[in-house]
Amino acid sequence: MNKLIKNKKAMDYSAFLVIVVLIVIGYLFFQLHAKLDVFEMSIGEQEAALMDVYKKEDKLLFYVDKSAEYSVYHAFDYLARNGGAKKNQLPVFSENGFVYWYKDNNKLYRDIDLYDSFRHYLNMYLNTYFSKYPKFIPKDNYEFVVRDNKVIGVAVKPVLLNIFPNMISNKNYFSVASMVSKDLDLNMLTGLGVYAVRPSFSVDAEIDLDDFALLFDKMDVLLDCLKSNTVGTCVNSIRSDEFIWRFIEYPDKGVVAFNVVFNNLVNPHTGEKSFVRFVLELP
Amino acid sequence: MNKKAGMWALNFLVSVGLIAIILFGFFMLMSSLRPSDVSEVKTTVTGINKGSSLITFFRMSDVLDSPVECNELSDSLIDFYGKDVDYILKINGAHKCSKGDQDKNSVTIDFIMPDYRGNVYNITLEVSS
Repeated sequence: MNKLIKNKKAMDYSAFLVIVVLIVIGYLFFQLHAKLDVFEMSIGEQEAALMDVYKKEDKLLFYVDKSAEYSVYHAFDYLARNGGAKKNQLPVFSENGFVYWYKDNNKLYRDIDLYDSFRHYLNMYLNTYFSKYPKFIPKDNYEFVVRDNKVIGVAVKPVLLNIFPNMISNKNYFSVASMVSKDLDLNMLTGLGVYAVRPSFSVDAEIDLDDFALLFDKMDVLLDCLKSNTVGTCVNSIRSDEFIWRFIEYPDKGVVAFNVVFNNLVNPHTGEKSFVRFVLELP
Repeated sequence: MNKKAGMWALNFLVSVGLIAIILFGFFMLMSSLRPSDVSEVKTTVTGINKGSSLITFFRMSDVLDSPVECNELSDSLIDFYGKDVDYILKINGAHKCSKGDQDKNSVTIDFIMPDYRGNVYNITLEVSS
């Protein structure tokens, strides 16, 4: 053995082989390590993060849909109680806070844009709901379409969801969406990227703004009648199945206050019928 | 002859040693490339898919407004998962209603839900079947 070790050829060859192999291993390690640095996440983590962001989208859209459903009925009730007008749009009778529909020989109810008022209140209630969500949802963000017992809200700005790839290691499968405003610098976002969601909605609601139009037509008849008859007589002359009429006269003020119930419009969340409140100056 | 045989034997030993080192290094590197736990990935994907369907039950039910709605939720879950389904519903961390135990593999979803009065609740639903 001693002779073998002293054999120069054998030792040269072995030493050469060892050096070559060490160089090759070093090179391979360097190459593989460089590739490993690119893959900082486990296999499947990116895909799972993408799926998780769809979950976040579901949660967000669910909240938006529920908010919209409730806001539509809130808005309609508020609209009716405010006589169909926006706040401060019409003068208010000081005794009870009802808006004037007829004052100084002017049919003020004909100036009301019901759809505009409804959109105004709907937006107001949506903003209130969105402000209570733990993450950011843009406000004043909708174009509304109201048609055939359906209210559609088309979102103008999207909600941006950050895609985080750390869900597997954190076991945070259903984390609340991390949302940022559109105006925020996108470079500040971390993670795989950004998923944009437009939180539009469509609500089937048993509301009908056309019932107001019918009521306005009845007002024309009522005002003509009041020129020569008592309030009770005139109200009896326009009674129909659509409305329940209640009124209180203020003879010293020359005013009659109405509370007209929509007989066919029941709020499913309160079980109560919607009603319109307004006052008329006696002609 | 003895010298040659000895030389080959020595080279053979060196080669085997080097191959062992190379294989050891190769498997060490490859082990770091593998997913840490494939079953964990599978669990995650399954959880996301099933959890996604759970939120749908709340579109139909106003569980916040009435305790009766718990029965409605229970019926919906039984229709969907079968009569062996167990569940627990928590609102703001407090127990609202449940059926069975939660020892089996379960899917959990938590989300935010408003009610008509404008309150906002944290809902957690854990379902196992």
